[in-house]
Amino acid sequence: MCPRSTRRAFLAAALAARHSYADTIPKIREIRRGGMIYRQLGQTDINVSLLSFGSHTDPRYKKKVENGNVLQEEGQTRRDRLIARALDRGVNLIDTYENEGQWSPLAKVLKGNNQRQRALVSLCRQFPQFVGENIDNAARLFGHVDLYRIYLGEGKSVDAKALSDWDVLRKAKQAGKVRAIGISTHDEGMMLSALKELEGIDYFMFPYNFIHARADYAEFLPEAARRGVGLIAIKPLAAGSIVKMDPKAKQNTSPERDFVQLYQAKYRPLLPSVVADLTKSLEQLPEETLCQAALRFVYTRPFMTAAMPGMFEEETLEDNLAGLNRHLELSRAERNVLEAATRVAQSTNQRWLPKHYQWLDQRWQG
Amino acid sequence: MARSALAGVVFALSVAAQSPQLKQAGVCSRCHVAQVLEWSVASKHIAAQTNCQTCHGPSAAHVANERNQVKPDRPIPTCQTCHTQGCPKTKQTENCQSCHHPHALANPNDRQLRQTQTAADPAQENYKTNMAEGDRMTALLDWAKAKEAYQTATKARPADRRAAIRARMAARRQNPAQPGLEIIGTEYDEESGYPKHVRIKGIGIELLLVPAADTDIGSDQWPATRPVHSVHTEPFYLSKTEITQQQWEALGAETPSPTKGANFPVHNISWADAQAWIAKLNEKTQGNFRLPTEAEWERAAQPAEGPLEDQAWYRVNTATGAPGAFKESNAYTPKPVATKRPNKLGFHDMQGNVAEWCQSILKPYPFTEAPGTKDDLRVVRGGAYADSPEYLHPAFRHSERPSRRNPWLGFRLAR
Repeated sequence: MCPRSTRRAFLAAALAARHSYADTIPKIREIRRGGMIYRQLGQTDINVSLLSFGSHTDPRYKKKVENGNVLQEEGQTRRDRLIARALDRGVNLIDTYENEGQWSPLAKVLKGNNQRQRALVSLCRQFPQFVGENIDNAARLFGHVDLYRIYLGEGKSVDAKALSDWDVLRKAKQAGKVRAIGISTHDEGMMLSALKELEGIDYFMFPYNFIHARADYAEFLPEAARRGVGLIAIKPLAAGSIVKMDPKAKQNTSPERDFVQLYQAKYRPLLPSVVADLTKSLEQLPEETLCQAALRFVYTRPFMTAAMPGMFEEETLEDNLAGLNRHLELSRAERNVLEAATRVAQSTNQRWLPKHYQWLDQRWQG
Repeated sequence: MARSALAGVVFALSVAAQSPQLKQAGVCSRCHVAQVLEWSVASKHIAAQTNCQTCHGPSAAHVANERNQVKPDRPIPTCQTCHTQGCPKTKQTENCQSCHHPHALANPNDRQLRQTQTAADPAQENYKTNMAEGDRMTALLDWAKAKEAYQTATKARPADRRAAIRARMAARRQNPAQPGLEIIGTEYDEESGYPKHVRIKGIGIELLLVPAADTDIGSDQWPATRPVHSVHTEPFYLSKTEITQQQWEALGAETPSPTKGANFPVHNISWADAQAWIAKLNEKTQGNFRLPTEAEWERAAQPAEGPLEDQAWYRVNTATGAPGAFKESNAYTPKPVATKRPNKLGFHDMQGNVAEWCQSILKPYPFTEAPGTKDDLRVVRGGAYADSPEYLHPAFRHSERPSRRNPWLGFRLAR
């Protein structure tokens, strides 16, 4: 899709791509535990919570240091509390990028108690450090590194630097220092190039939301699914732009950008009218907020392993979990089947539970 | 009746469980009770403190796999591994089982049996005489006569591998020159007759001989290196150092390496680049050079005693900045070859400096050689200058596409 395409052309392409791959891809193995769904990450033995935690630096509490940004004390306390809460609610994947001061506070929170030590840590290389040294540092700091990724910028193909960094990641995985290795990128061309050039990719992290689903990745997604690569959606709320469009969302939320965009090579901004049309086609459930519907859209994609929105507020975490819980609820058809079975049992006055569950029937009657 | 039989079996098992033979056999006696008893009867094997693993290898994967889908490391071991001089009485070096049970149940001192066999086999006498004559001529360095004697012994017993090996050795010693190579020093391998140290004419690449051996390769440390198993390697030459940029350029090729220096290893080359260079070398020298196989590489990579830092360039001693500081990948650089101590077999930089391409394709163990296609991943061994120490372990396996050029990939030559 070229940046100058018309609204009509965009929607036509979007609708054409709508069911092209989603229906043909086999569903990922998943387990449900404690109100959370965990899906298998690609072909690894790692199960990732459907809602994962992107621990970005809250811009309100950002403090510049020599090699990046850190959080001020208040911001750090807020984030630690939010991560702890997310872990307690069943979220098990915490992602953070490598920058001065980003890893140590997270390691401290995760080492806090045994329950939280089970969390999966997802880390990223960031310039200017050497990736091999970073992996060793992370292993020392966290005690374990579950997911490690490198970021690929825009371009036609994977460059020599990324190729050599990937070689280091593969070695680390073979040596047992990292459980899964992956790529994060915003560029579909780069994703396709990575699939072609890099051996043993376990997962991709890439921007994905209901807007992208209509227009992008038509080539990448079938290929990734064919190879059994894990897919983690970042920007499921379009970097906060969808939150801003949601009338029920908290009003002081500030998105990374004011306009909704497609995270591809040229960061294509979308016209508000196009966004409105796509939003209408989202099929919101009654009483569901736009954000919840947007996240539910990602959760219900059979090929996605997890959605990873950035979260700064406890309300946001609860809202995102609510979207997930709605997805966990029984559908109307499923409820109808159960109610019909109950009516049949009541009308015939028969015990319809299996023998080893009949004590339940007695308890209900009691 | 049945109850008394059962009690008898239980009693026998309890006595057997306490027997020193079964204890010495260790874990193997859990299944191979009969074989352990055979091994412990009328045999000096048990007195020599050997056990099943001495001959059959550690066989960790076989022990772990209760369904017997994984065979021992050496299912049929060769007696010559220990009995290098052959039978003390018959001087026979092969077909030990014509007199002895594999686990030595038959009494080797049964004179009547032995006399019957030797009397019935005149070729055996002929063989013995000629082998003895060959050994005598070898001691006198008369290679022509030694070769003749060994060849006669081979004719007496055509299936005898030992006589054929000795005949080839004598032939090599008689005419040690090899195409494309000049001999350095006067040392020769006693078993194969090859000179131990040679140099490629015109290029100056020094090669050391790695004698034939059964080597245990692999490690239990990583999934890709399991199971530990034994592989036989024939004698081969391997270059003493990684191929340097000066040697690379001697054939007219341009150095693609980012860190320049005549004595630095050539790096940033693909497997295909190395193959093209070797083809050019073979054309020039009429040699038969190649990359080492994975098993050959591991056979030659026996670290010397002492700290790794004294014999390898790796992350701890190649950084240009302060240790632990934030570094870019180019903060680590390769170093000139042979500036660290050699390993046990005399090779420099087998571990660290640049990682080395092997001829082999990456396949799950146990090791088998296969030519592979142009797209198959090729094995890379030894770790590199930016690696942490575990990647330098002789058994650690890595791989890369044959077309890939990485700044830490180089090679050494085999023949």
